[in-house]
Amino acid sequence: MSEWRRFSRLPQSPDYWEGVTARMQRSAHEPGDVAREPAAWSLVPLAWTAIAAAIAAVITSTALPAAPATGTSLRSSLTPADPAAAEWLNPARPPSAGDLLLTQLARSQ
Amino acid sequence: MRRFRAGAPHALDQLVERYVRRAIGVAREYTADLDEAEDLAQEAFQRAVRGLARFDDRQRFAPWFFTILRNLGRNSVRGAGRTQSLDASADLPSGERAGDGATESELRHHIERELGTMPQQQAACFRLCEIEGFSAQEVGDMMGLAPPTVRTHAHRARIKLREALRKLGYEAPQ
Repeated sequence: MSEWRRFSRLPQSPDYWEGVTARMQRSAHEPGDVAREPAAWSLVPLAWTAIAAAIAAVITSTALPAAPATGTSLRSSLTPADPAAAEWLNPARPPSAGDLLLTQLARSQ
Repeated sequence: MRRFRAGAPHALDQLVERYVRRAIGVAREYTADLDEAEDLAQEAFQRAVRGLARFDDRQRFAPWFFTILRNLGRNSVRGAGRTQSLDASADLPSGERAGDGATESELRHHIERELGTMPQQQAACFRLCEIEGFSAQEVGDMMGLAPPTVRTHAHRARIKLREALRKLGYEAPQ
């Protein structure tokens, strides 16, 4: 054994280690009552799933009513003031080749 | 840890019993006060139990547990100012000089003071290997170092300590 051992900072008494071990064993069990139950471990993923579902439900319920208004205002702000260009952007009635040609001619004049 | 998770009631007790001495040994690297070291070790065991969900069964318990403990130790040092090697900061009793009828407590005082001047890991590796008698593998787990690094730190510290004690007129322990 190394001669340095006599300078140990740890108590050498077996009684001390018995006492401190028992105290730490007791305290280690205190926060772990739930963690010790195998059944409780299986509930952890379920709890997280429930929390995630609740958060998703809140976000969906608050976000949905705002969506049409935002879409409408965005569409109107992106529509050009020029009637011909506005016509082109109308998805319901795409411009014909003739319209495009006439518009091009009008702009060049 | 696996057995504890599976519901084995005594697995945690065995784990505490196996690691308590090492835990307090590491904790003493962060505080000179034994009661505080016990509190740190106790808190580390409690956190390990609370953190079971994050523990990967494929990894070893010791490195994971001692990482928790070292983090707690660093936080306590940050919170309270550096208290390591508090014994070493005490002055020698007046009239006592090194090498002149030197007592064991004087030698201990000089050893602690010299270790206090070394980088923390170096001093810790020396203390835990040479003074407390843990193996390089155990100290590696405790300090988050590879065993060869532990041996190198301990060896360098031993050389420095012998030289310092020799200058003070002491014969260093073997």
